[in-house]
Amino acid sequence: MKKIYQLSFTALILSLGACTDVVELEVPQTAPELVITGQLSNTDSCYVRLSTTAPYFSDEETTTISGARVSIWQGSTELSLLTESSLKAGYYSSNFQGSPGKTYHIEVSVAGNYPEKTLGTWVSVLDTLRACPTIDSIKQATLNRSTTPQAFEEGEYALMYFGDIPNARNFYRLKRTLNDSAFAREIIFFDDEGVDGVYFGSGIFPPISIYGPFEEKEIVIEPDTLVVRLESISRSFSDFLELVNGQTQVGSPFDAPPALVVGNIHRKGDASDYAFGYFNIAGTNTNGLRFTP
Amino acid sequence: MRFFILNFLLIGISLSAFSQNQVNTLSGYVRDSKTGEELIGVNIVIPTLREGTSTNLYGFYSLSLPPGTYEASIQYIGYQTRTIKVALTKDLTINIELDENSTTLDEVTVLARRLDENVRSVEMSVAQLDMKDVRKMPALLGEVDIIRSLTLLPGISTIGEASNGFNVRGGNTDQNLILLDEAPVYNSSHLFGFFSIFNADAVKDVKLYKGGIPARYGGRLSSVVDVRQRNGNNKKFSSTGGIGLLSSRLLVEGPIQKEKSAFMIAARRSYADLFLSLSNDPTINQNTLYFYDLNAKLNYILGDKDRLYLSGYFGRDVFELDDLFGFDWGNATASLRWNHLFSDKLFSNFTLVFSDYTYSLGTPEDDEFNFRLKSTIQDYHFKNQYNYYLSSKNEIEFGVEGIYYRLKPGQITGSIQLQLQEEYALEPSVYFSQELELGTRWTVQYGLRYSSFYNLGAQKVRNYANPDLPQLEEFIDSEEYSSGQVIEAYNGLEGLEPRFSVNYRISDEQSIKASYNRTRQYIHLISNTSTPTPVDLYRPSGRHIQPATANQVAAGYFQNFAENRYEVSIEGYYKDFKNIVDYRNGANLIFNETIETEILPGIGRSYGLEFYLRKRKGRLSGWLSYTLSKTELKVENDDPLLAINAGEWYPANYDKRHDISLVLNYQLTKKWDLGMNFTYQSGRPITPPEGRFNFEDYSVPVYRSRNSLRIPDYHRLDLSANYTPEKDPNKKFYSSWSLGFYNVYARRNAYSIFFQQAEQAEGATTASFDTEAVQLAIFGTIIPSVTWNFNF
Repeated sequence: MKKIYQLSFTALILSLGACTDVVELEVPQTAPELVITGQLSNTDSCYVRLSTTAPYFSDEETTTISGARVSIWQGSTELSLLTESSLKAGYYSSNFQGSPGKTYHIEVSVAGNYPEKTLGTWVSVLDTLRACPTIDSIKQATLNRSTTPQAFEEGEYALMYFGDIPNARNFYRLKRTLNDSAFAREIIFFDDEGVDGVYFGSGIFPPISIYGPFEEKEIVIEPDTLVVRLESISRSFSDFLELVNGQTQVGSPFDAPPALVVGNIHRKGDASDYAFGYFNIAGTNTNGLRFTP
Repeated sequence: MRFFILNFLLIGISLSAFSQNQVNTLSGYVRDSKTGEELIGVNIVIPTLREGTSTNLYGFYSLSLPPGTYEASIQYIGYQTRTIKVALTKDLTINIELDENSTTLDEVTVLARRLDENVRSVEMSVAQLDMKDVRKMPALLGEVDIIRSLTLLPGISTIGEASNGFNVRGGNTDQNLILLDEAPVYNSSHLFGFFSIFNADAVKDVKLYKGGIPARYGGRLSSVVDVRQRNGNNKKFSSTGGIGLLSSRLLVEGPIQKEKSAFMIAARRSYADLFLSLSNDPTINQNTLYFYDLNAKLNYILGDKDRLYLSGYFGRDVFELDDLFGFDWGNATASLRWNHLFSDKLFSNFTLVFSDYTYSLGTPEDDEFNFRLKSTIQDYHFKNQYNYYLSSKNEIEFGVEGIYYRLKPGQITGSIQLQLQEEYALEPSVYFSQELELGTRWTVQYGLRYSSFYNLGAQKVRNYANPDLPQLEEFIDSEEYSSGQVIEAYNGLEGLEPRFSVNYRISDEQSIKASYNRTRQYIHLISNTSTPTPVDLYRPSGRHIQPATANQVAAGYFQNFAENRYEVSIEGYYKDFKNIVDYRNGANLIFNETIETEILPGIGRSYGLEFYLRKRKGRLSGWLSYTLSKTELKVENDDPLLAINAGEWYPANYDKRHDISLVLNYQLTKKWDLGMNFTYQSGRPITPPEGRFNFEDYSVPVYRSRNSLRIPDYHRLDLSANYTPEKDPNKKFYSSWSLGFYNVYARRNAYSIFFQQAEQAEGATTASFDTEAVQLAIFGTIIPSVTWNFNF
């Protein structure tokens, strides 16, 4: 909602001659800290990336952490040990897939010649893999302002049909790839508040427009292929994504104030000593569409 | 408690008894001879006795003197001083009319007050503007702005050009009680803070209390802005208006029944959206954005002892994104007041007030999938105040007040139906104060306000393991309260709000003043953006949000020079705050039914020095103000993720160390006057990132030390020229022109600096995590304006 407000504000200040300039500033630097990101799902291989924080204006790549011990746990049982890729330092994976309804966490032990604050054993908060509704179909449809006011440009759109799982508060994330390329810097997430159990694509609830309009190319060698992945995520991950969005999409007086983005990783035995990043445990489902010009 | 207040009252009355001998009372109203408008703060002085009084907010005065024959001098700057002979052998009622001064080049006056009022009055920490002054000052886009003008006075600031509200002596924007004809106004800005909601044509008087707040005011921690609308001309019909680049306005007033009743109605409408259509960007040029407001007032003189006022305000800002989305917000107020004279010495005022602030947004109703979100805060007030004029040196004021709040934080209608719980609260209060002159040098004003607060049902209240710091994971259960049932009561001794001011007159031209006030605030603005937005909510104190309290001490030295042509003052203050609202990292405040879990209680402190030099008469007039201040906040918690800056003091985001304003007006000829404002302010704090980490293809900043860096200092020069042709006595219609230049040297003043990931280079195949700091300037250029004003 504040985005709407920001838009109207932007419209006003631009008309008054507002301007932005890139400026050089000296900002404080703190010692490197551990960053853990990764995912466990019911459909894909499990992976974890280990790296460190970097000075804010540093042009260099963040440092990756190799040689760590990374494993998936269910309660007190270690289920799978992730192995580090020989091609990508700091990238650990395993073929292990989770099952809906089961609770998991990861454990990461860092040792060796790395910044002091990264050393030790780190764990993620226990989380349950949620069932994800099926994307029944993705259909192509012609939309314009008269059929759909939000369709600013007339053209071919991709519409997603799916039903929310009823009687539960569900949080979702949507990932899109077009011709095998993920959309850059895109975080789409939503929840079922007010639409619990609703089927999007029947009755008054239209299907969700997830892409469009497709580009009408003069010579079509290979038609566009859109793949959509729906993830059933935890509220905590949804909050994390919102925080990432809020802290990276900035530029108006109505932005949320700067905040520390902390996820679900902390030092084993000390919940107040956190690492950055998030280990996401999610049920997923995928569907796609090949564009017909 | 009742015993305490009764004792307090009796002490006051018994003190006054010492000064009572055989006296008669001279009383009445002072009015403008042309319009019949009551004048506030007019001095009625008996020079031979060196005694006097001034008219109250309704233009009423009462002066008790020993029997005798006196010459009374009625003085009001901007009006011709009048002397009347009074044989005071019995109680007398004399209504006095004053003629406005005709302006001469040598005696341009700029303040509608007695010249030595600043030295003589016990009031301190008061900022007051004369509307004639305000109209002459350079204005952004020619829009005369009362709030922007107030920020040129010491101790009052904003975080920048586009800011809703203002900050007074380290107080947050929600700590200002803004009253329009006694009705509270929740959002004092139009168009995201660029302009104030007050139409200068409709306003008679503005007074801002930064400290030494009288006991009759309560409910906010930091300041009171008391705005009074014009009553309307009860002698003849007249009209005033203007056409500017941003908006046009028209005011019409006149008698309903000559010299008995009058009306005033004023309207404004902006056309900012015309500028939007100039943009090449289709997401901007198809938008609509404008505001309008309407002020209206009726007043009836019912008899010698009774007078009735009915006034209202309705304003809206409207934003429409093509035909996709609509968004509007605004205030509506209504006040019904009845002045009654029980005797020549006892003046009373009964007030009923309704105030509403609503925002609404959504899609058109005829959309297949439509929705509308609406949020409202409504107040219903009752006030009953008495002023008892025991003698010219002794005045007692007392009263009661009750406020019933109804808050509807959010309701979604349309295809989706959702509603956040409504909240209800009651804030009763009682107050007493006495102003006493002790000898020839001392004046004291002491008072006590007692306020309490009841958070009421019907409501379902969530219980947490720690009610003072609710956390979602510590939720226990919900408790159902029926309609009117008390959920939480704040009615203990902490509701006592003592107020005290003292003035020691060293001479006729010098005085020293000091004051102390304690204030309580029971409703809180829930906003964690740099400046509040129209979609922010107010929440009442209750089980999880404690009432906030502030204590302020202030002392100052006041001196006038050269027969009161120059006025100088220096004031120092210290203020502490308790239970102010702060927020968890990344708090989600929009349509959140567990908003209490996002809030952290904090404390604050502010201290500073304020210097003010004013030249009030002559061709060149104006003022220089300088404020040196520091405002800090503190949020402690055992959990390091909940403590802000590790529980240490950190600067508030509106903290500005130095704030200088120079305001000048020069009467060049009888027709031309020139105006200038220059402002310099230290840069306000921002939070710098201390590192970054990669999440997917995002470079996420690591923020730890809140507000530890400052943006560059702000400075700006504005100029204006006003052309006012001489009035032709044979013509009813006359007009004037105002030219203005805002930000004359086109400085790109930083409003904020934000940190972001640089745009991905075109054609790049791998994600770039490069970052940059970007400075946002609201005005990157000079803003010229021209306004044509007319009267008939």
